[in-house]
Amino acid sequence: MQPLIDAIESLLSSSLNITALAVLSLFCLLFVVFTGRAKRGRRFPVRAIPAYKSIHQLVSRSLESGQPIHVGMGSGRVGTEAMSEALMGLTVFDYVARHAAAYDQAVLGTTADGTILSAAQGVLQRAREEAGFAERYAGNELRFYGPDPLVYAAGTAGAITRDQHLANILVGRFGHEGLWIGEAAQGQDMVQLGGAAAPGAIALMQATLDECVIGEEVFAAGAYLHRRSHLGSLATQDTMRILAILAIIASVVMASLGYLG
Amino acid sequence: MKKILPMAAAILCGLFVLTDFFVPHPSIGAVAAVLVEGATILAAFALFLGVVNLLSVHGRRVAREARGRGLGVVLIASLLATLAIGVALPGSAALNWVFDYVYYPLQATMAALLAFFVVSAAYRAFRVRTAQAAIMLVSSLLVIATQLPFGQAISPYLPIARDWILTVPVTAGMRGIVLGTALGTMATALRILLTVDRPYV
Repeated sequence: MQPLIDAIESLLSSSLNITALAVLSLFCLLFVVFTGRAKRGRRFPVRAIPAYKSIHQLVSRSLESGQPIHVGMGSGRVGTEAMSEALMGLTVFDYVARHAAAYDQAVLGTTADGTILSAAQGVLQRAREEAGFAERYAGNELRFYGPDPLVYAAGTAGAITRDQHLANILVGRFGHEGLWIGEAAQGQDMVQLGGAAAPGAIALMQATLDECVIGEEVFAAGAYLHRRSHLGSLATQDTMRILAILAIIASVVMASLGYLG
Repeated sequence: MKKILPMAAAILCGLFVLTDFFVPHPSIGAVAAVLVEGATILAAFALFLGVVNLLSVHGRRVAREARGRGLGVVLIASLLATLAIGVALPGSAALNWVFDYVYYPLQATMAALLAFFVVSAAYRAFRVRTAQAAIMLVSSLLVIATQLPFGQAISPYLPIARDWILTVPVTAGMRGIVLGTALGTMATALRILLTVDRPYV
């Protein structure tokens, strides 16, 4: 009993901890409610994001033309703060791979992280199995060039320019290597889209890609592409953002009136 | 069972690490540290899988494709030679030589090319005739002009304008992006913790 009392005391000793726990609890509650509604088929209004609309169209065009699509999942690693971005890259790859597998088409995925590579291999293998082409799974559709971002950029730029790809989609953790890949592929007749969440990378990606998703839009990939359940988390994000804006405005007003130290 | 066990493990591990963040108790901290260390070891092993993938992709190219065969041979030979030196003579002068005279110069060369890529990308971005591109162009020119040694000589108001751009609209925009990213990261983490997303199954 004593360890539990100690644990609760240490939790309550920090006001920052209590605030963070309150925010997390509210986030969890909204998440469960909205995700439940989304799974039951409730529609949530979402604004159009051109890059995700283009991915839908590109997948169809790829099936018609037979040209593969490249999905770069970036240099985000599992176990770091970039993991969530890397998982969004994996979500986009899942969408493209499933459609390619259904029509026995090729797809190319690249990453700079071994754990994302093995997860993507699982995604592709499952997609091929579900489509009834399990024997067509080839390991060379997913490529790892090294954990260093520039090494990854050099390998990926070489891979997408060597063969004729319809599109180059870069979603995940990208820094300056995103610019490197995007610019190296400029001479090719290839649609380039994608995005990044890190503020430093956004400007570079915005400059080099035809269409770009920025910041939180990266995390909406699943909801916009093929995962209905992600609409619940998207609604949660929107609600929490509105609450954060209201809290900021209230804090500014209170500070201006001298109520906050 | 094939799906339930990984899901249960993911939930338990996630909850333990999350609890450790809020409750700095030694016993919880010890378990969380083991879990985080385990993730690091798994990531290191995954790097080995990456090397196997690299050898497999390029080995296949060397064996079956005429185009790019030479580059594949160079890559595999370089990888195996560096690996052999690293394993046989760890921390040796020979290994340092590989990094100092091959790897770092190549990396610096690629990094140097970025400057040209920035210019070509910026040229294309500014050429697009939209209001956003015009605002970006004017702001960029203003900030660049005021960074130059004679910037203040052009007008004493230029540094003030630059500071205002950097501290008000740029900082506000960046904070908005960071706030949205933080919410997105929380949502992604919860999707995994509550098994809405199961990338590991």
